[in-house]
Amino acid sequence: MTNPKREREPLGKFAPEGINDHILHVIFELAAELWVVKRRLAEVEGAAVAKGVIESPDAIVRDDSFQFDNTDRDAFVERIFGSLKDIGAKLDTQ
Amino acid sequence: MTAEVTGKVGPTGRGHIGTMAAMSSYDDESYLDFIEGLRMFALKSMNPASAKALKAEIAAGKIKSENPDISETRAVADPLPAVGIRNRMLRSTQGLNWDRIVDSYDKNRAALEQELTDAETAGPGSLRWDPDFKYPEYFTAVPYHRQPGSYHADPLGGHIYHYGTKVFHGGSNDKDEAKIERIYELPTPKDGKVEKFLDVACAIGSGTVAAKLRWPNAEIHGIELAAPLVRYAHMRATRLNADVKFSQQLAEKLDFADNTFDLIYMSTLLHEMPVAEGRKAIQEAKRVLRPGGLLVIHDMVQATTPLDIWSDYDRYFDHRFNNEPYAYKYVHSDIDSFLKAEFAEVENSVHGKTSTWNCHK
Repeated sequence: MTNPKREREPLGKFAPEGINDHILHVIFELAAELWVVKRRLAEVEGAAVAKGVIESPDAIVRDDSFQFDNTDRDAFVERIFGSLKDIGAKLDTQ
Repeated sequence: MTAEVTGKVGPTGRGHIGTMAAMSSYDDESYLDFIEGLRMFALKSMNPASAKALKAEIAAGKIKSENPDISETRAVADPLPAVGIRNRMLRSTQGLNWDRIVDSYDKNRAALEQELTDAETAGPGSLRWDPDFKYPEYFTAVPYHRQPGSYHADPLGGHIYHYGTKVFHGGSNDKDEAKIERIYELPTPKDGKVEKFLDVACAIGSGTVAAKLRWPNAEIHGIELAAPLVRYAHMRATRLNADVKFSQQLAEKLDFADNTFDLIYMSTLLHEMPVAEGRKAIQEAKRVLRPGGLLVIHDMVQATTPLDIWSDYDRYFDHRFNNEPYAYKYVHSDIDSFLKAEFAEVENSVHGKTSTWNCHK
């Protein structure tokens, strides 16, 4: 079976008007974090291939001895999205 | 205790997480790791913030009744910014989760399907299933939980479900640890005898295999309606060398003789079917349970009086946007009265969002 047709998202159903500023802030933070990772990754991959540590980045096989700590991941999510939980019932539009 | 496959590259060429095949690429795995983290943020941070925002509105008199109709609750809750963001986050993480898993496993679809076929005649357990099985209409009406292909229409439904639930539960059951713990907590019949155990709607069979760990000398059965799930359950049990008898059956029409089992476990089934069908499944479990035997039902907690208004809203959100077509009616179905009428003795305990009923025949 090939992929079933993607379900259309109910856009405009959930988040009310007025949160765009918050969303933009999240996107800026996210883009900055993404660039940090891409820049570092390019350096590390280049060095690893040059030294023969890996043939290519996609050849990485999952190894239980090497696990990211969920604490780091969860802190990353909190740093980016944490402001959203403080919005509560009212938007500060001042 | 945990269950895992080690030392095998598996059908995706990237090893396993517990007993599930790893994603086909490192990037897919990282993407889903992030989705898992974002979902945990939605549950642990946005949920309390949303509940608090709604309770503030209730305290301000925006909802008058102690037992409001869901339309009244929605009129107040839907426009709240925190609630809207939470809803968006839950809806998006679920969709992104499924789409990436399907796309990733598709890259190795042939190998993944082949391992299912290869396992069919392998032991130590056994598998009975019918490629022409007629599913009830209520089951095929919607793709449950928005899983592409639902549980029955994609041969890789078991693989997809397994990785999907990993993300859904925040990695808390990657090596079956949560399921094993739950099975080890199950009470036994009053005479302590467990020689035949049945897991009704066993899905991918992690609870069923855990039952074999707990009762190694017992005859352990798992029944499941969806062919991809029961085939996956058997393949998984084979990998773990667990002697479990899996079969594709309707919970409401079992092919076992009367009074067969000492202990029957029915976990998170009833909210996935219409109330009338669920009651047939309970009666069918009672039929195959021996006198003095025990049926343990574990499922969503029932609605309270007065109503927990946030919980009711949350449940209805799942109904509207996560393809839980029967859950909302189930939580308002007063299962307690039905069980007390059917069984000699019923004990009920509530654990947060879930509830357990121990039904003695």
